Amino acid sequence: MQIDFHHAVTYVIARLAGFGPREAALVAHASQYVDDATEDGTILFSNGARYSRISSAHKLLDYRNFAALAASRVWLPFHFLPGNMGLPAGEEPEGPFINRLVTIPNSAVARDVVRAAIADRDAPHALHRLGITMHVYADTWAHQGFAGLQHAVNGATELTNEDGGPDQPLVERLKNYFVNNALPLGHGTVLSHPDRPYLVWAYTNGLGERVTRNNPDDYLDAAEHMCRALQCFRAGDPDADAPGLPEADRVTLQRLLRDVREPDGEGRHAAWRREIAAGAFGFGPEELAYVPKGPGSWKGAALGEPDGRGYYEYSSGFLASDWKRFHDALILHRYDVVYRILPRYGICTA
Amino acid sequence: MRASAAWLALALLLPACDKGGAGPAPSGSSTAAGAAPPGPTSSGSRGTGPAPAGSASSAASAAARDALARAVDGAAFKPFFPAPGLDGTTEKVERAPKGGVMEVVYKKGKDEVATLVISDTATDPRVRDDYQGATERVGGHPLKTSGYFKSALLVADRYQVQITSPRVKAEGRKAWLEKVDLKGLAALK
Repeated sequence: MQIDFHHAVTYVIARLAGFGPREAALVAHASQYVDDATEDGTILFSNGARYSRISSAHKLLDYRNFAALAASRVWLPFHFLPGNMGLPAGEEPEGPFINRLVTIPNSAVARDVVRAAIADRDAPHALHRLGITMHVYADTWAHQGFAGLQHAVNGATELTNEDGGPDQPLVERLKNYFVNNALPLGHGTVLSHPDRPYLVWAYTNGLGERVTRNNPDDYLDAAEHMCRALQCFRAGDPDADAPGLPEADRVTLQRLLRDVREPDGEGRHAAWRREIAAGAFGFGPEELAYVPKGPGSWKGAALGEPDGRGYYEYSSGFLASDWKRFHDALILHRYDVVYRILPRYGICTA
Repeated sequence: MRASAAWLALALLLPACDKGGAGPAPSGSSTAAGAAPPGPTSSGSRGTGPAPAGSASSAASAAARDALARAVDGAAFKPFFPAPGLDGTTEKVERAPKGGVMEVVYKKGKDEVATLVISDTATDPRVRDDYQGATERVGGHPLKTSGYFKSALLVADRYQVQITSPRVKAEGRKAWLEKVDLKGLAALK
């Protein structure tokens, strides 16, 4: 999924789940920022204070990124959550281990990640973590069938578009995309096909099986489940009987997921924001913006600009800044996924 | 007492607001939201700048309302869902029906094994186009498979019956679809 869904649609879903505009904007901002938090390392302050953060994406959101360890640290917990072949914790599936790393929509693992975010709802970073969780949860639909590491399981050939014909522009691009017989990572072999909400497409997987994908269907399913998860967060109960999307708004989402067809994420993001501003949803017309970096961004507000030596001036508001809380939440999310949740499923990863 | 009644009336009348929304707010939320620059009304945006505001009477919402008016109520689908039993399921959890859609989750203990959704494609007739070229049928109705985890039928060129399961394979999902009262559903007006 791209900025259109991770930011604009996530904002819509959060509003429909009952969050106010500022809370929903925070959740949506954190959800999108997972794709934009590309830098790790330690921030040095001129007063001697320090802050270490991890990244949740690579500098270019590029599925060619073949740094194996970086891939498993970033792609796996934040973009390609292992699905344990659909089995609940404590049940060991048959077959090779790699199959357990394949992403499955709304898997028991994914629902445990949502539970962990709800359990953290009283923390200062609660909504930032909720946004990160919504990113990961949504991607279990978009990235289904792929794993967040280099493996033949991610192989894909014979791509066709919604007309059933070969996707020739994509085939041409792929010719120059993978070099040196490198193994495919995530859905790199199909590039952005899983990320475009309106697309119905097909490919042949690494096992020679023909796989058809219906993105508008999957994205609507994701939106419904995300709305319930957000309502459960609000109720403070992961098992609450959440109603999900209001029926009229569900239909609007269903139709817009097919109608908004700009080929790039930025174009679709602008189109969704226009719909939100036009009052397409039950909460009425609202303006929505996203500043990923520079002045007005979370990072800009928290840190400002470094001095000539690379040191930042420490401000008393740093500890409560959205940027710091987001990065705290990234660490906690990753810790819970890698050290608490996946081991319950017998999955050990970096 | 009167103050409580007034507060209740106000809460019912006001739209969702920052501090509480339409439901109970998380106790940590006010702090988090309060430190949230930029808010939704802040200027500037990624790439193309702020989206221009449109008319408050959205074409998209009007189209959705019209479509919803043509769809049957989701509660009408309730009799067509099968009893649990397949793949070891022992419990059937019905989600509250909505306009044009109803969902039932089948569980084995706490584990969600399969989810069946019956919906009316009147909410977006383009869904029917997805079945063009379908080569398989169940009970005479065209079948489509989406990804590894989902199969669906188009019944009477109107109603979609969809099964999603994280682990039941395509053949097993067909068995679930056969358990749905497809004849009854096809006769629904």
